[in-house]
Amino acid sequence: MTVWLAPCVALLVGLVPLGVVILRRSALEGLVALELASVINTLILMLLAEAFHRPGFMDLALALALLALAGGLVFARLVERWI
Amino acid sequence: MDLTTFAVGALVALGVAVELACCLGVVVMRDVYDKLHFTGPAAILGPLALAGAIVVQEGLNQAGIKAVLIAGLLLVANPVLTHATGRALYIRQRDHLEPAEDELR
Repeated sequence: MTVWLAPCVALLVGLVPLGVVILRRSALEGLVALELASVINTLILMLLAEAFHRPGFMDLALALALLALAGGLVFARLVERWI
Repeated sequence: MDLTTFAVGALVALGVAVELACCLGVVVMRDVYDKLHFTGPAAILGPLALAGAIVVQEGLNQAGIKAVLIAGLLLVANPVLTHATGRALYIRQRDHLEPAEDELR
């Protein structure tokens, strides 16, 4: 396993407790966990692109970082009053 | 082991350790405001360390520049998201954003 794939696996393990928080706790706690999970997913995509020597795939991480911002803001607005 | 390999390994280990510690913090903390604090290092220190590792490995080519862009984007987006989430929590708890009459005195 290369120096780039091992951290991907470690970060994937870190997503498990965040999934538990999203499923079992309140909506706002879930939102915080979702925001952190978005950051970790972005980093995983970045590391995978580097691991497979495909710099073009980093666009996926870039797109996810942008969409996670928009999605997080929409969720925060919804959680404010309606969820 | 040459210096580049050591630097890359150290930066990657630092980035992953920060992310996992923040995951643990979000799970362990009981208050949502406390949980919110742990999104900060995860979106600033972790991405900077991992982007730094890629730049050290690749230099400022396509991969390096995109890694720096991603880290910069996460760095800018996190305070905005944290503010929006904190605001949502405040409004949810008090049902209004403006201070009450007795809080103004």
